[in-house]
Amino acid sequence: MKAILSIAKITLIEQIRNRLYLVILFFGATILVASLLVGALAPGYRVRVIFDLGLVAIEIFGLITAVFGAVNLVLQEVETKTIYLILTRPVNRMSYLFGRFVGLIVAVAATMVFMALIHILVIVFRPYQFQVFLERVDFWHIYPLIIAMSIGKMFMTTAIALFFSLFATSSVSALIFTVSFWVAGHFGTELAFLIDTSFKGVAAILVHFISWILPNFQYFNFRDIFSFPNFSGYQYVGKAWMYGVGYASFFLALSSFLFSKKEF
Amino acid sequence: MKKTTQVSFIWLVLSLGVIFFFRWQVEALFRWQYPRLTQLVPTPHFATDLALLSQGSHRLAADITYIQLLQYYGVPEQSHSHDDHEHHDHEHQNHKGRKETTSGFSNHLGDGIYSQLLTYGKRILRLDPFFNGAILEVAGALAFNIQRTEEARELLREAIERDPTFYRYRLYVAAILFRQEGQDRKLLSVLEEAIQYSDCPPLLENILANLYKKYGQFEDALKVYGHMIKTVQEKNPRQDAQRNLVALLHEHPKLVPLAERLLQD
Repeated sequence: MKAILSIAKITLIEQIRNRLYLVILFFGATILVASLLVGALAPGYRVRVIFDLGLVAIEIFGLITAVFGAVNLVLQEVETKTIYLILTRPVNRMSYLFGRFVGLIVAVAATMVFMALIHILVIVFRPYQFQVFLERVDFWHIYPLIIAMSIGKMFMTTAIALFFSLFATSSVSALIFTVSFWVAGHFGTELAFLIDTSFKGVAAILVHFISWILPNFQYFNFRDIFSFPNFSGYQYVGKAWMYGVGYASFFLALSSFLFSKKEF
Repeated sequence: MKKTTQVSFIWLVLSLGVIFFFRWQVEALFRWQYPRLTQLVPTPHFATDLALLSQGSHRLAADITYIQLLQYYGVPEQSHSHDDHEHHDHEHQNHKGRKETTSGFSNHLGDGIYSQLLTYGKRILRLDPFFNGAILEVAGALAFNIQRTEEARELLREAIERDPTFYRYRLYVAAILFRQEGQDRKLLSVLEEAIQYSDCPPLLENILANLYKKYGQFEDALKVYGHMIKTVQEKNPRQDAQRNLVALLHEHPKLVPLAERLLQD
């Protein structure tokens, strides 16, 4: 446990030193410029557009941080052979991998929370429009939940990216595989619909079973589904998070297996 | 089998169990209410829509479409293509009772055929059926600005199907019907209810003010303009309301104290 925490701490520091503050800065600049532009383009729905745009930007910047971080995390150390320095110490490979994952996910979550704070400031800065927006959206309750669920997505994606970084032959192919999972995960409900309409009986069950291997990010997509009438998301937040933990755990187990077999 | 392999295997099986159990649990509670991908409106912007949906961004895709709509509808139609003529003729044959104001183009904002307006409305509706304000704006523009009431009703019919909980759509349908039948008094009461909501488009407020003026209720018309000056966020309709208010005060100077009171509040 101590080894995991030490590696996690080092990973977090590395990430902060590397590029995280740049991501936050870039996000801040993007969202400020976008809010000025949007003000001119959609005056009636200024806050709505800034709200939606900001949440998508937080997720995309989070995704970039998570995927690039995860893909390079182990690959870089293997290529530069610095991994020997760690593995020759009394640290088993599983602890190393788990520590790396925890450190990265904490760094990604912290980045997303910082971006969310900037985003809230930009929204609240328009008091009149914000008041109108509050008539339709329970902002202070839904916003933290949206961010928490976006972090849930990153949790799963980071585990997937880590697995592909060990499985694929290069960082580019690992990136492509991860992004494919990301996109497929957002079409989870569409996939289920296609299976229901194309298959019947045992075949449908079998294909559904296979499709369940793909993540369903729509469960976590509260930034899109909170506006549904009779929104039921509050009832399954915990269960969705448990699903995410299970999913990340599955890919961590696969990564751990691959890493234990890897020869340097 | 080595110990690490065994641990990984047990870990994998347990994780799979957690995935399937909780996915089954969430699936029972999860209700997807956005239209299917196959129902998206095929336009030249289809690739953009799809790219945004691949990130799970229905709301943002609808926002961008709304901005595109404003750019389309906010610019006067200077000239029109052969396609527009064809579309216009087609509409004319299909929607009897349509007012003949669409036969020519002018340089005024909102004047013109705007043959793609319904397409933009449907695109927004199918990307985010809960972007009610934007859908009301398109329906209002179709029905009251360019007199294509059949298209407005078609859009509202689909909007009601997709979001039956938003009863203001029905209010608009009623307003369109009353307008079509020339029942101004009934239209007046429907519009009075509609402007109580913060997302009521300025277009409807203008129609209400004009109806008030038509029936000599100048104080009520003044209140509507005052309300628009205070609440409308778009610059152009707000300036129009200011101009209309000044014109009204020129015609009826005795309303000046009321106007001062209204604008001070």
